[in-house]
Parts: sequence; structure tokens; C-alpha cells
Amino acid sequence: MIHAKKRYILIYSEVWYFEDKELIKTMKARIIDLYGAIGLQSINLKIMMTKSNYLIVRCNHDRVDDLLFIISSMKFKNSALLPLKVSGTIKKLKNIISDLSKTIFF
Amino acid sequence: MCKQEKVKCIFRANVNELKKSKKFEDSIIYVAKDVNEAKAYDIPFYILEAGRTIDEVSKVKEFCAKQSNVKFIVEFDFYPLRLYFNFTLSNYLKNLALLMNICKRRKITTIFSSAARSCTEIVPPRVLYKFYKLIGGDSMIRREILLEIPDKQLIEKLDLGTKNFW
Repeated sequence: MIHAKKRYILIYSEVWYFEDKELIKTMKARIIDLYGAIGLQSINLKIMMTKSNYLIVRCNHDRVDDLLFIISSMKFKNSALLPLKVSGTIKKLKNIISDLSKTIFF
Repeated sequence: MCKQEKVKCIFRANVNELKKSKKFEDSIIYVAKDVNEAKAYDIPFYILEAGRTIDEVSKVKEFCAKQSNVKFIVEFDFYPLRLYFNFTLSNYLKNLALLMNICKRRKITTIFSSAARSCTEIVPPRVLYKFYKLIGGDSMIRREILLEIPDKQLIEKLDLGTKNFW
């Protein structure tokens, strides 16, 4: 079995608390709207972590642009989602979150 | 104000601003929100917004197809995409694709903007390029767009300013 490369995306939102089930439902509905069920399968979306205003999602590396487009073009609880950084490891993004939490962002 | 004298800034203003000032200024590019505004004033060169609703996009489409003298560029905003779901989203995108097709045929220049009202609504150039590809743009490759933008890191991270007249 070939190990598929993954990418992690750090997202910022004004929403303070993310309900994972509701969020994944909204995101999947948006993916189906734009790319259909096959697109949803090939993107292979998974929410990895939520922490206050920040959220980390995982996807297949060849569909990063598609997922970035979807994230940017959707609203969750009347608030836009802002993709901040794409990385190959979740550790880097966790470090960025801790750095951003220390400093005042925006 | 520009810090460097060599750099010349161009500001955006609504065409309705012409009523107040009654003269053209070189440093201002006028923006028409819809076809009616574009028809109302005789401006040498202006930006025409693609429209927020499907009806508005259809009107812009007709306007672009019929206009004999093209003295405008069409601006596609990213913000309206957040307002639509399901069939309305696909209909809206389909109309934008048809408008893009007319722009390509008539060689009308198109520009893309995030139309952000706050700093959390800014869209990076990478996503705007995806939007351009999705509605049928094919004349530019991604590398060209990212190289054209002088400091993409800055654009991806900082607020580019809001559109006050949205």
C-alpha cells in the first residue's frame, strides 16, 4: 500500500469555540457543493485539532489548493475562516499556535 | 500618502463621487458597482464589478457582449461566494464562468479581489488564482501571478484595506 502524502492547514476564525461535528458537516457539505462526492473522497478531510480561535485540518497534499479555496469561500457561524499556514507536519503548526497565542494577533 | 515619491498610488472611488468632485483625477480609478452606474456617467476608463447576485452578473454579461467601445475592466470579487450554497452557488459560478468566457472572447481585462470587509476575510493570491482557474481563466499560469505580486508574503498576511462603498 502506497503511503499518501498529507498536508496540514492552520485556520483562524473569529468563532471562539468550534463544535467538531457541526464544523465537519458544514465543510463536507461545501466540498460536495463544489467538487461532488468523489472530490470529498479524494480530499480526505480530517479535523486534527481545535484550540480557541485556531483549527488544524488535514488533507491529501495534491488537493491542498482545492481545500484552501473551500475554506476561504465558506462561513461558519457567520464568520469567515482564514487559512494562515500550510505545513507538512502538525508539530510546526502547533508551535505557530503557541507563538501566536503569546503575541497579539491582528 | 506614499512614503516614497517615486511610487504613485491609485485610489479607488465610486462613480457617484464624480457628482461631488465634477472633475476627473489621475490618482483615482472609478468603480461602477453595476451596469446602471456604468451607463450613467461618461468616464474614460473605469472598473466594472461582476456583481453580487446572479441577475447582476447576467446584466454585466449582456453589457460586456454588446458594448462596442470597451473602456472598462471587469472585477471579480471573492466575497459573494460566501453568501451562496448548493444550487445557488453552482448557478452563480456558472454565470461567472459565462462572463469570463465573454471577457476572454472580447479581450476584456479581468482582475480579481478578495473584497474583504475585515482582516479575517482576506483571501491569499493562491486562492484567488484557484478562483480564476475555476471560472475558466487559462491565460496565466500560477507562477506568473505569484511572481507579478512584489511581496506576496506581505499580501497574504496583512490587511489590504476594506472597500468602504461595498
